[in-house]
Amino acid sequence: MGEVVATIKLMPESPEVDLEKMKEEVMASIPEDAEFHKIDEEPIAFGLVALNVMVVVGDSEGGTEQVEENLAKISGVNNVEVTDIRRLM
Amino acid sequence: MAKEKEHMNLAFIGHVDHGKSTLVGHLLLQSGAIAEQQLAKGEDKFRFVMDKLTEERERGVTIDLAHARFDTPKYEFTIVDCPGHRDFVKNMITGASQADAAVLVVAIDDGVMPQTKEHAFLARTLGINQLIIAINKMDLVKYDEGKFNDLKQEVSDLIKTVAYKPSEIDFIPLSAFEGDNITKLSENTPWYKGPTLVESLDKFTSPEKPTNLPLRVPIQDVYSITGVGTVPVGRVETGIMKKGDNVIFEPAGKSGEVKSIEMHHEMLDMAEPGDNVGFNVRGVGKNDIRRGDVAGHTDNAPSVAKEFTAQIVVLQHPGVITVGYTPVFHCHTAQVACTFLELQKKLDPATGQVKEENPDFLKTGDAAFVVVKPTKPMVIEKIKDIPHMGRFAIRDMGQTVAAGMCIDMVKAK
Repeated sequence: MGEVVATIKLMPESPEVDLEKMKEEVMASIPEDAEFHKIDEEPIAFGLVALNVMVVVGDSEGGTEQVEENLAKISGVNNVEVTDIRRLM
Repeated sequence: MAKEKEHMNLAFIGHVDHGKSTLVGHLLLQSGAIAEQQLAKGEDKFRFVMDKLTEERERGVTIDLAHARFDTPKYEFTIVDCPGHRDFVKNMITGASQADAAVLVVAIDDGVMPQTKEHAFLARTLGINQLIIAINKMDLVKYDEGKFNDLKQEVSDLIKTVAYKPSEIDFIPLSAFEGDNITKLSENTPWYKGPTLVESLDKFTSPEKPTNLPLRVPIQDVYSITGVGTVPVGRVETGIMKKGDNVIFEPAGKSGEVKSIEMHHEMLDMAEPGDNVGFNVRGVGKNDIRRGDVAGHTDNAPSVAKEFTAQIVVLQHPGVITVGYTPVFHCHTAQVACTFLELQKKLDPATGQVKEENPDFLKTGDAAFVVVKPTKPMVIEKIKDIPHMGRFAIRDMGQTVAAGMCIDMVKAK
């Protein structure tokens, strides 16, 4: 079974969201069978900043589902969207 | 200064054991992304490099490799090796990373597998019009021309079913392990007169941004920002949005004037396909519109479907799909439950011919034309009008059960 690296974009609830706190919660939210890689900030518009979270999951049943569910529960996160997926060699 | 090369996103698709990774590894090796000294002698050399990276847990390196670029004389490619498991199909359909072209890898010793069919269908659904067929592992059949021609015929029949023209597509016999016909023509296949893989990649035409299509911006989120007002955020899929344009959000039916557009916190006068933007609209309140709505120009509004005809392929379903089934359709940013009204015809995946009119049910592996009715208003477009807005994944019970595209529709208004 291979592995897949996914980039997941988190949109904040408002421009005032505490991004550092959100990042800590992102790292704590990653389920056991997934592996956290990194977080990048992406400025969007009018003060809104999205977080792009890169994680590695198995190329197997469930896909990024559990990671997405956990990320969606983080306070300050408006929504979660997988923007990129590709297999690792 | 040398002219900058045009960039293309190239997807590698096909069955998970047909050597996609090895082929990608070989191309990256040519580009220098994998250091030569890591190459061991032996038949399994690329696998060796990969195993070594994994052993040493150089995670950063393998992740960087997955995003690495590769140059041909004409283009700069970013390679996307597509996941094999069906649970990623939803992400491939609704995600942002759009492949401009694809290499479908089929191993000569294994032939066309269910995943080969699924991926050919998905490539079409994803709007990938340029395809190369890599017939891999030729070394395992001693570079037999007859076997190559047989599989070429079989794959031709398959891709014809999703409207690719085999006569316009290169079928390349190669061995990813041995390196045959990847950058230079191999002595092992003297009967093959076509291009190498890299030569074939350079025959692609560069993708054009769909700026001539009607404006469509599926809304991801809506904000109310102090001092600015209502700010919908989304990615422009097609068309151009300019400051001062009058836009309408469907199915909400609300319209207003675009006062300002920002991307990466910078003001823009106009936004084009691929841009992730926030835009301030006068005359529209935060609660008037929501995620899943689509913005377009008022004189060419997004289509709201009362019902639509779709071509679908059932990827995995534990039971059968019958009339009345109501799973959730994921289409751009919308998620709407839709009821199957009619199973029109079941297709033979090998020939594309109608196998059965009005079948009683559909099961895993079936391709079919169906009519569905959204349980609430939803924006979708015919795949031939605006391909970016016509594809969807069907989800149920936590699984992606099917994928498809909108062929025709009855508009709600």
